[in-house]
Amino acid sequence: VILRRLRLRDFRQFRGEHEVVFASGSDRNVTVLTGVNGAGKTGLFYALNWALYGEAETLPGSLVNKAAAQEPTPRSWVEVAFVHDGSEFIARRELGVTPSGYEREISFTLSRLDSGGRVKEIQDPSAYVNVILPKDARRYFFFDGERIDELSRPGHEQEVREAVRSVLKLKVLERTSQHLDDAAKDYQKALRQQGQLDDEQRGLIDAAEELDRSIRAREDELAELRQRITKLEHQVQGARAKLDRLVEIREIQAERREVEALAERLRADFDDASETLREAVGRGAAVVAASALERARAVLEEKRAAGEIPTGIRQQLIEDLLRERICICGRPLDEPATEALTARHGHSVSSDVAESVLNTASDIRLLQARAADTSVVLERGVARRAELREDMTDNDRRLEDISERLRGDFTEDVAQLEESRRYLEDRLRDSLVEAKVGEREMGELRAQLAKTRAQLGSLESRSVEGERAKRRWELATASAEAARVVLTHFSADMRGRIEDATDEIFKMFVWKEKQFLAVRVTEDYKLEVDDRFGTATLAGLSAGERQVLSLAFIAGMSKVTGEEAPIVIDTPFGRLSEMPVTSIVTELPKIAKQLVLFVTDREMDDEARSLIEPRIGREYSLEFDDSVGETSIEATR
Amino acid sequence: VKPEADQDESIQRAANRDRFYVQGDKHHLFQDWGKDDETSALPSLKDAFVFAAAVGWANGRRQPLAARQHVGFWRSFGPQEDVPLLEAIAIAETGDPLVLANRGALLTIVEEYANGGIDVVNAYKRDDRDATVLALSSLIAEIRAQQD
Repeated sequence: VILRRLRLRDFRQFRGEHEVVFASGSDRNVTVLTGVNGAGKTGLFYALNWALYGEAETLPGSLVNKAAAQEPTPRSWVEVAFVHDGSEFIARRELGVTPSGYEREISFTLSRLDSGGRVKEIQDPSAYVNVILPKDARRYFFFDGERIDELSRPGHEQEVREAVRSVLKLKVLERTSQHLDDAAKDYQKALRQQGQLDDEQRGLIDAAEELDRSIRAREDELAELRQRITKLEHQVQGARAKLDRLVEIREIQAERREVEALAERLRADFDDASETLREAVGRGAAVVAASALERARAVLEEKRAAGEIPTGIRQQLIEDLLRERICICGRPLDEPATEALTARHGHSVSSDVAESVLNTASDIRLLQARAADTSVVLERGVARRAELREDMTDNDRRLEDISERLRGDFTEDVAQLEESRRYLEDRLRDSLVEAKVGEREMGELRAQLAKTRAQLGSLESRSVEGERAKRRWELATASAEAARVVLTHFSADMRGRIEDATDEIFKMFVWKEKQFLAVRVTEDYKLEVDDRFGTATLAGLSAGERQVLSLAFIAGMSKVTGEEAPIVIDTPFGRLSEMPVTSIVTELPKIAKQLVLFVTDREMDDEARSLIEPRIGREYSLEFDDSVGETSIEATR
Repeated sequence: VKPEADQDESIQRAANRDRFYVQGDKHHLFQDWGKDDETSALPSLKDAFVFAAAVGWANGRRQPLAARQHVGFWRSFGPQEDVPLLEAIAIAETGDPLVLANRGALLTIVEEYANGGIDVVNAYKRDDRDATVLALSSLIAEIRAQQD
């Protein structure tokens, strides 16, 4: 299917008639429809679904435009023109509103236009559309980009299996196989009922029926066992992930202990620095009164120079020298020396005061030296304290960060978890062995059944009628077996090819290619990603990574089917970061035959835009008029 | 009028004064600043007194005491740091070393500077000791910067 055109009238917020023509060239196969949130992208996206399948299940509200619904006979329609197998088709669905206000589908038509321009209406249009693009496969071609990560969530194998069955039309083969199987049973019954059997034949038929029943029972058991294995694999994977996380938590806790010890050291250092600072502040008066010290010292020096303060010669000594009239050197005092001593004696103060002044001068000098030291201690103390405060804040931030990393984490005993992992792994191993045994036994049963049937075939029937019944039974049995073999081989082959394609595309899209070794689609249809150590890591993927994996899987299926099918995505990049978006806009247009993107104005940055630009054939802008609540579609390219 | 002998005695007593005082209504400030416990920024009341006197001197705030209250004795001042500092203020104020011979005059000078200084110091009071110590260290740094 390649989409040509979408036309609609009075549908959702689109009042009147609107048209979108889709790009379908080999070089320019991308159509981009841009609109802000609420402009009607999703409405338009669902218009496509609704026109083809009559479903718009997740759209809230009514389909008929609100203003149109007020008219006497409101009527909305959506028309999709598409090409399939060289013919052009137009699917048109109309909708009205009953007098009581309920919406009601009026008609659905599918017309084929032949090369001569003649129009032929297809009978049973729903069935026809379903053959062209099966309803259940449709959601893998028309999808909401933000919801497809379901496909690659652990435990969603059923979704993956359904996707493969739908898209690759395996269901048709399954139905064929089942049908042939039923036919073989009917013929077997007829063979028994025609009454011409001898005991040996009857015995062989009984044996074949018994074997057939055993095989089916064993198939059911095996299917159940495989489901159990898948579940166990998830549980083992979960337990391992928890254990890894616990190891990580231990490392974080060790880090916390270190950071807490550092916090304690910093606090002690800070207290020391604060105490040192407090002591220095206590001695700070000398720093504050530095000018008084300096001035007092200058006064004292001045007085001393003027001889008003004794230099330390005691008053008593001067008096003794004057009375004895003998110099301190032992010679008699002459006149000038006597005058000088008398003058000094006259200027001098009392001996107590003189001593006090002398001591004060000396103490002031010492205090000035201590004040200089205190100044240095104060300056360094303040700086050190600020530095430690900063370190403490940083450290507190680290502790907060650690707490954040641990917040919401489980507390579980490692030993208990390890015990549980071992138990699960043992059960998984047993189940795998059991499955192997079951498969071998089934092979044996099938061989036995084939042998029994061959024996039955080799026996001659007693009548022509009997021989005919036998031949019919043989043919139906052989056909059913052939269909089963074809189905098995085809499924395995397709699974392998989808796996290869998904792996290839995922690696194109993903921005951490080196982190991922391979994508696998397992036998039981589980999508799995192995990391660079070969460990299954699906459970650890982010939502964005899962979305990319799902997209790769869908693109892979599209590639493997080889069918011309469009990929229509609503909000394709809403959840993705810049890197995968640039890879996807580069690669997806090459993989898909036709790509239609419904994007918000913010989903693609300039780089992504410039990368997809050469592939854009058509572009539209959805312009929402807030005053009337209606959207118009403007072609911008 | 006191007899001359009485006056001489009174002068002598004043010159040998041992007690020091703060203004009555500021007593609590000195107590707050110099509590002998873990909460106070300065070790004791006499340290608060010396610090306030130094700050009063540095800011030129000499204020006579309105009503005085006895808070301690001269002997409680440390001989290595407090006494030389108080003496230096008195000498710097009077320009005369002989002021040391008159303890009463000396103490009056430093009491009045402490009385003016305690108001400046009090503006640096914070909620907790740590913050107050930090504020005082910034006060010291500011005064030092002015003197440089």
